[in-house]
Amino acid sequence: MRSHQQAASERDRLLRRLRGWTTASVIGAFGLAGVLSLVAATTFPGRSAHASAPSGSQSGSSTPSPAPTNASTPPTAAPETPATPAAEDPPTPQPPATGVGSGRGRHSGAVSGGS
Amino acid sequence: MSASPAHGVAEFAALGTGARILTTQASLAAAAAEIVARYVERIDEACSRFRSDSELARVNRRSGGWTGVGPVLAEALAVALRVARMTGGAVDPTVGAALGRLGYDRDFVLVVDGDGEVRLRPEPAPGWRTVELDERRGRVRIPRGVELDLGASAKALAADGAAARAAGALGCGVLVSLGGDVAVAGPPPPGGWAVLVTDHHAAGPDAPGEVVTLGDGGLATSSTTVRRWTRGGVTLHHILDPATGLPVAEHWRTVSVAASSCVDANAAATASVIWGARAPDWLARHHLPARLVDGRGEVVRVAGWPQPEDDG
Repeated sequence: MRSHQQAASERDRLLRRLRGWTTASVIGAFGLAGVLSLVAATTFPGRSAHASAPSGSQSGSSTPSPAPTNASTPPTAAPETPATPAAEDPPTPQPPATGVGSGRGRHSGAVSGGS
Repeated sequence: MSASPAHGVAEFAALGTGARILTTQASLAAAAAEIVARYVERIDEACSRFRSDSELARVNRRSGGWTGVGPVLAEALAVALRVARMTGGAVDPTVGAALGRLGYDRDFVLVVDGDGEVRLRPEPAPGWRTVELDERRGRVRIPRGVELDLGASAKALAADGAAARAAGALGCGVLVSLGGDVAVAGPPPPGGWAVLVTDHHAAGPDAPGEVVTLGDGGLATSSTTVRRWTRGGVTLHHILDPATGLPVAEHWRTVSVAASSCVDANAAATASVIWGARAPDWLARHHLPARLVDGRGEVVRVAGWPQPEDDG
């Protein structure tokens, strides 16, 4: 009878220890993941996350790469109301505020041509 | 076509091409030129692919590892990456090695026609996404063997920055043309700056083309008719398709674009040469006034580029 109680006690002790290891493993895994994330964020700063992204879109030091595009094909325009964060959309060029007018043949001495 | 003498004018050589500065006040042209020259020299020291002492040359030499960069090169790299994103990779800073393979490995005035063999096998550029720019720490890393070339965007950035600095310091209207990349800043002359648009920036005032006026932003022209050379009997030019690493087929001979900055105008013009027939749609969608000339001299105008019959 006593031997049976001892066996049960020993079993309970081992189970408690196992629970302790499990808990420690879970906590350790979360902690390690956090540390590795921090290391990765510091080591791989991303691709021009600062100046190249539109203002207001900088959320850290890493910018997700946009979907691959074919250089020989013009990128599609951003939607009128972006459904995704601005950092996902390519920057868009703007026209001159005052447009382009006709010079009526007379120029100021400046030439725009290939160089 | 004739040139109006109403502005101050100054000229000097820079960035392997010519700089031309116009000011709305004639007496300020020399001071504006001094400001422009100083800024352009900073860009050249940072961004030249051909100066062994430039920051960019150091970055290319140290490919494979992180290299510290100063604020000028960091800005130029950020602009180049933004341009690459904007154009879907058509204007890509990683074409440096491809240009070198084709013989354009030194200042263009030193590139001579030669009989040396040229390899015209398509080889895509590594791609702008391989460039890691850490602006916070002021450093950049490119894969081993990759060579950056900022020629497409750095000259336009220099024009924008120089015009803004000169106009800000002198309080007058300033036009800066760096090898045909035009940026204006400050109050323009009445009616705007009248600019002759033609194939070659060094063409004389009577060269065939059109005159347009610009009040703000920039105007840039990309052309396959300039910076041409031969290797082994093959005629080459400097506008490469990053998808092949080879000079693009000449659908458009020359493309001129106006935009809110010279950087964007230059990017759109160069990308349009690469995109060929698909370019007018993209330009129109972004409301960028543009003039595209095909190989036969036929002209396509989009997004409000004035018709020539408007000329009086």
